[in-house]
Amino acid sequence: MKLANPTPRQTALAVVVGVGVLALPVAFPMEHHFAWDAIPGFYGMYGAAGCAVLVLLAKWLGRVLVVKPEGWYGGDDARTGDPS
Amino acid sequence: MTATIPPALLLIAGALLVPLLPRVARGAVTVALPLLTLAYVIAFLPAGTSVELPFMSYTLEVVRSDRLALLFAGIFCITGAIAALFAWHESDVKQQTTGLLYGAGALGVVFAGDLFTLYAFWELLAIAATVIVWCGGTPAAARAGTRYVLFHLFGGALLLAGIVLHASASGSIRFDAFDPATTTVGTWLILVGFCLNAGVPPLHAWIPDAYPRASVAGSVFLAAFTTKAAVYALLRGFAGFEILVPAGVLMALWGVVYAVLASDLRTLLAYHIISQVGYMVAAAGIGGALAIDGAAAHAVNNLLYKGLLFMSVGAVAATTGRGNLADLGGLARRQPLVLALYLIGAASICGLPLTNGFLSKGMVMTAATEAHRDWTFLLLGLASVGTFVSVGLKLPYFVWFGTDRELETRPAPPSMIAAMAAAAALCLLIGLAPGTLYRFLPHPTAYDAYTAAHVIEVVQLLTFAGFAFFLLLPNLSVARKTLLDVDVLYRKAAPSVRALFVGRVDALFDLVQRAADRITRGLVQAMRDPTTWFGEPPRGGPRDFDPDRSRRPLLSPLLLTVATFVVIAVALVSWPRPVPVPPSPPPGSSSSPAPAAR
Repeated sequence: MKLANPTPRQTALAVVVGVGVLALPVAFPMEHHFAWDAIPGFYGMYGAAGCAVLVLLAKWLGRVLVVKPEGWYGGDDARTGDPS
Repeated sequence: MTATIPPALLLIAGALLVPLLPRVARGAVTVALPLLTLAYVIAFLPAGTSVELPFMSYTLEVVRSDRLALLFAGIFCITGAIAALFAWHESDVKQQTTGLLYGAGALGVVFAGDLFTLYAFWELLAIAATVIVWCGGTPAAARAGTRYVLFHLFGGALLLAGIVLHASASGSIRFDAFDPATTTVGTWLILVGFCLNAGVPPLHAWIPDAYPRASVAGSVFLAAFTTKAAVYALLRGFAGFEILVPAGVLMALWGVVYAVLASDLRTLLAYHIISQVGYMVAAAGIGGALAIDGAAAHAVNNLLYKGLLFMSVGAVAATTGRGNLADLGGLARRQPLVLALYLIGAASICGLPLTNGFLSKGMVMTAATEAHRDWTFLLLGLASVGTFVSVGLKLPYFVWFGTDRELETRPAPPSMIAAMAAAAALCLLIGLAPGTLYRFLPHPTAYDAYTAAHVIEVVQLLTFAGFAFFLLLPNLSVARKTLLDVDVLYRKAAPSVRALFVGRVDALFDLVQRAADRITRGLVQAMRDPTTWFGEPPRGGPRDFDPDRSRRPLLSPLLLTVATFVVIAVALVSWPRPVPVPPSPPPGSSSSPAPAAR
């Protein structure tokens, strides 16, 4: 797993936006449907964790099974719009 | 006032007319016809209309109009017109004609009140889609189209078998909701036939296989009709079937995992068709008014934003000649309008507030909430993260931002931009004024998407998914690649299967043929001169029977015959004749002459 190296400006921006988004429920109270709705910032964590799981799962699946070099089907992979 | 002509026939008549028109008129007619059909449907086929035809011992209901049918018919007409507008500049007469037939198939399915009518239009969908794939014009498109038609003929066969079994079991061919409590083999076969067209794994691989290989306008048509007609059929026939919930969740996740990997633009979007249809299939499985409304609304919205996304990447491919993330980058400055329109579509598919996707995805999620389906809710939420990551971030990042590859771009034709703008406008209109869509939904709904909880939920989910995405960006490869999916099973197996069912059968026929040849040749050889059976073969090799050459000398047999004849004749003549015996006297007179002689 490789991680990007954000600039301090990007990090600062992300922190501001992140904190702002997490603070929204303070201003707008939310009704609870599920048990996890009581956890503050649950959907933020779920979004970040979900993204990580999907990207890493896809990467792993690609490595072990799914991704093959182009032309694996014997030149049958060309799409319209590809340079010929 | 009601009419009796099925709306599909209007489009079929138009399709027959279009090839005869000059190039200039063709584009206009293909755009106008779906809109005229829509006007016809609104004016003459209000909910409750039914047109029946006797057919053998059954009654076909070729038109059955109700709110669900009208909603799908309306959006099919609108997307048909938008796709035709997008295809205007390609002006490929085959594609324009087939596009109308494809729309006719979708309308026919939507208005079919019985299963036979449904089946007929179902096959029209399959055939029209195949021709659209073939219109891609490349050898790869030709092969993908052939795979497409084979796969869909298989699905059609399952459907037909199911219909026949169902009709013989129940005695009815009406297409109504099946009862989950009393299912038969026929019901399940029909369900599998529908699921194949909806793209439920493992019957989904035809979507990413065929859709990216059509022409850029062709894939807009493809993205519209087949899967959404299947969603309609599932909503009509199989609402509340529990199996559809896990099937839909599987679709939603399967699609996004592959989309994260895909580097070909239209392959990526094709996988998102599977993912988005997953929401609708899951909602159909949940059942109930809100879920059905949600699925139907999501189908409508999906037709608009998915069409918009396919059109945007189509515009990129048409103006740069490239369709793969590996070859694109830095187009934002050169194509700001295409980017803006794409982003509207992307925001909609991600379900961001103010777009139509926010409403319908919210309805599906709320239906899952109200049914207390925690896992369905969480996993569909995960799929929505995946959608955001691949369509909302990855694709635009690598196409319009990222490495600037200094690509030359041609300006996009105005018809393309107009079609995209129309779709984008509808996405925003529905998102901003939900009532425009709600009033057409099958059930009256008071669903309010813009609650604080819903907005905050989506914003938190996607914001942090975005952070994670940019942090993990170095893990994403956009190199050109082949993605193996379930189709590897039949694409790689095809040579062996062909060897078994064609090669082996050929070989067997060949063997029999050669054996028959050899036997015939032997018989002919033997029959040429039967005299050789009885003696030495004539010198100089075998030859045909020649009576003059093969005849034995006749003198001795003749002599022998004559001699025998003479001997017999002489013997007969010279042999002493026997003395005739006098007739004996009658028994009564025998006593009197004897004493007289004495």
